[in-house]
Amino acid sequence: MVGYKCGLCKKIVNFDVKNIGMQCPYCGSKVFYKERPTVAKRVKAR
Amino acid sequence: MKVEVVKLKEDYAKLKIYDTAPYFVNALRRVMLADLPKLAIEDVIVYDNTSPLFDEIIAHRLGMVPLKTDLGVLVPRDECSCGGKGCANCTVRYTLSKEGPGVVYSGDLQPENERWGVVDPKIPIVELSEGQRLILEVEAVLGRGRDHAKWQAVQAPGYKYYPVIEIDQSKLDEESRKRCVEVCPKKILVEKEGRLVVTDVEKCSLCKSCEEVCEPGAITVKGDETRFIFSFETDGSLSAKEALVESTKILEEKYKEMEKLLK
Repeated sequence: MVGYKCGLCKKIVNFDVKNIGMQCPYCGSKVFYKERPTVAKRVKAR
Repeated sequence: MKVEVVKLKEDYAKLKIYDTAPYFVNALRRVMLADLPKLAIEDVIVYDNTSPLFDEIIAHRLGMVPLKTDLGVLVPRDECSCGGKGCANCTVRYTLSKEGPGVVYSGDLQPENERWGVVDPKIPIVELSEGQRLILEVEAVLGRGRDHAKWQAVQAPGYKYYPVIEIDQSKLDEESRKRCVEVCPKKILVEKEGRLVVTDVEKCSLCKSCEEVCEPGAITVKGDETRFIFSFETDGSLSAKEALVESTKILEEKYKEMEKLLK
């Protein structure tokens, strides 16, 4: 299960990775944002 | 060799170097560009970034921020006794934590010690809107300009031959004197009591425009190949004096190393 943030109602919705045709169960929106994972990321300043 | 300091500011210097050759002045210029070490951000550890810019863009922008450098304290990471792991002798750490709305500036970088502050605290990094956040930690290390422009402490080092302008007054009539005065882009030629005179020879850019509008031989513009006007500016990480002294030390070491290899 992967967590997404609904673009309309901002609620966190979990979907199965195999799921086709994502839709928010609360508001019906089809726009989602992938939340940034809570791990530190090391980047070279170049 | 003789060196005369014409102007010395915190981040700018202008020198006159006498009795030398172009190759030496050029070597000094190239050492300033490529071999002079300075402190710059190399690693960025991003904990949270909900800003409109990607982590890589923010890291690149942070890398270009000039940081105060003390070459007497720090050593390059690859020469450090820690073996490149990053210790207090070779690495300086900063933290940045800001929440929108507002602009994240270079001054928001908090150094572990105040001596390593940023040179200019008003360099914008990214603009944050309501609810956006930027939390990161950075590691700055000493590096050289030949590896990346962020480690280039000296900007626009340049030299020119000392101008020598010879005027044969007998070959100049009123008309040609007027043409010379008009054509000079630096406005250093003036007509005075029926003679053409140079007001400030050092401002001459050796463009030879005055030579072209006169009779052949009336004006001769040459560059003296033993005298140079050398100028440069720094980004503030090192003072102009420090940059010059350190560059000459590096150049000296290079010559010594070469001498050793040739023996």
